[in-house]
Parts: sequence; structure tokens; C-alpha cells
Amino acid sequence: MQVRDCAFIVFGMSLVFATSTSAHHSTAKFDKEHAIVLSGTVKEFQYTNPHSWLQIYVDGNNGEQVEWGIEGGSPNFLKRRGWTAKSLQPGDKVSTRIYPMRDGQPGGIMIEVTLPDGSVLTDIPPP
Amino acid sequence: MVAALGASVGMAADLPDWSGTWEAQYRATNTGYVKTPVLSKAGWAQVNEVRRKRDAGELPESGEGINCVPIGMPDIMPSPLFQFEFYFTPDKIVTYLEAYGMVRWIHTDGREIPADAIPAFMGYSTGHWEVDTLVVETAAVYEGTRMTIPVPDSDERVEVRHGPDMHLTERVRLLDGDTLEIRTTITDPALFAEPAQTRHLYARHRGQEWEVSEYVCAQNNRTYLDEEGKQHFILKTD
Repeated sequence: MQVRDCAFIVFGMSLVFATSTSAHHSTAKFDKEHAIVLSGTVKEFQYTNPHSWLQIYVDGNNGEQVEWGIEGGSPNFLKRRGWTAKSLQPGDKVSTRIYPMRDGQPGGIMIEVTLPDGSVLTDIPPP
Repeated sequence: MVAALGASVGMAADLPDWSGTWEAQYRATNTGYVKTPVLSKAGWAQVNEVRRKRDAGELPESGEGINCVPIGMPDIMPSPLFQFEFYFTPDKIVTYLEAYGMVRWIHTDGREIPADAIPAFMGYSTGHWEVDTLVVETAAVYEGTRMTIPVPDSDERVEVRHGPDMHLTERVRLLDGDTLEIRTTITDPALFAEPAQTRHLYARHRGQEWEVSEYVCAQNNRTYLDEEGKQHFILKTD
């Protein structure tokens, strides 16, 4: 986009995804072009600021349990999407769609979670 | 006490209804910088230094928000996905912003901005009404506060620091029943050769789920920068 006089400079969705001063941190470490789905068992759900975190055990390639850390939105806007501190309980079998870390570490940014009853909780809208 | 209460009730009856919470409409058209800012010599020097560091790989992978350093005025107002709320009192208007849990006190008792006001992320604000428009003057914004500006003749947006003499004039009014408009004039010789102008729209929300919430960034901050400016995440909780 070329910036022109007499035209509004629209910041748009990039504001949400951390390329602006508004963001808590950059999301460049995450592969936002290739979402993946993890299925596993909830270890812990931290409904906290500046981000919520879902800790989930997922089967690894050799059958071992791998703990993934999935970063979510802050409680102020998660609550506006139907989340509560008790949305995810330890032991729950869930699947979650995420943008994974580019470097292969077991982490990512949450897009949505499918709960044991099949209902879906959404997080930050994709870019 | 009776007089004070009477003044308060009378004032409230005369003011527009800005109840509920307000959310920046970051997808709205015709918002942002009204036109390309004209940078001052000092502004260009900042922009070019950021470009040099970026091209040399010297910029950290994340901004200082990663350390929970708040955004300040003016960029904090249109923070996406965060609400703010107004509280009217007889001598000031208080605004609580979910973004970094910041508070603005806009003095409406006729005072002027003190020359020795403490530099603050939100600055020091006074306000007066012009019919149904609140006009807010803000100065003494801590000069370490970051801003993102569009760069002339490019598609870049660059994070810079404003100067100690930045002055903001906001004109706040209802456009319709549930849309608030804030037009801000930014005067800052450290950045701009002439006043820059922004326009942002905010949608009103009502209901318990939209009430403002606490935001303590240091509560569970699991991201950090190392000494080389590389960003890391604490992925495990053990």
C-alpha cells in the first residue's frame, strides 16, 4: 500500500497480530500460514494476563507424552467469546487448532479449542 | 454535600450519554492517520535510524511491550480488542482502559496543564465541552512512550519515540447513538513538521461480558527477550 496524501492510513488487522505498538509481543515466531490441530489431554489452563495458556499433553512420535504450551488471548476478550476460567479442566480430552512455532518447539498460538462435548471456543481471529 | 450532589446531578443531566464500554473499530475505513504525516528533520532522523537498525538486524525481535511496558498516549486509545470506559465526576472525567490497565484523568474544572506536570504514559489532560464535543488537551506525555507512524512515500509503519513537547488535542463526540469518534491533532517537533491528525471510531458495547476487566501484564508473562534481543517463550509449566 502506498501512502498518499488525503487518504486515511488504515492500520487494519496487523494491529491485532503484533506488528504494532499495541501488541504485547511479536508473533513472528509462529507460522501463521500453516495451522495444525493437536489432540490431547489438558494439563492446565491458565486464565491470566497478558495471555492465557493451555498446557496440553500430546502423544509424541515415539509414544511419549509431550507437553505443549499454547498461548491464547487475555481473559478480557476471551470472556467475550464465551470462555471462563473453568472452560478447560485438567484431564479433559480436547483438540485445539493452533499456529505452531516455526522452530519446531512444542508451542503455538491458539485459534480455537474443541471441548469434550463437541462445542468450540474460539480465540483471536486469524489474520 | 448537598451542593456538590446537586452540581453533579445537574452536570450529568447536561452531558451526552457515553455509558457502556467502547472498542476501537480497527477494521473501519477512514480511520487512522487522516493524511500522511509530514516529518520534521528530527522525525526523519528517527525513522532512518530505525530503518538502519532493521536492515542491520539490530532491532530486537519484539518491542518493549514484551516487558509489560505500557503503550502511552496517543496510540493506546485505539488498542484493538480492548475496551475503555468513561466515568464522569463534577471536576474530572476518568477513563479506564483495559489496555495495560491504564487510567486517564481529564480535569474539567478549568485548570491549565501545570508546567511541572509529571511526565506520564497517559500525560496530563484537561478538558472542556464545546456543545456535545469534549475537547481534551494533553501534554507531559513521558517521552519514552512509543508510537507507530506511517512513513511518507512508503508502505512502512515505524515505531518511534515522540518528544517531550508533544501536545495532543482530542475532539471526542458521538457520531450516532453507538459510535464515538475521536479526532486527535498531534503536535510534536521531534516527529512532525506540521501537526498530524488521526481519526478513530469506537463502538459502544453494553452487557456484563463487555464490562472492563483488570489487566496486570506482569501476572503471568511467559515471554522475554534475551541479551541479543531474541524472543523466547516459556512453554512448560514445570
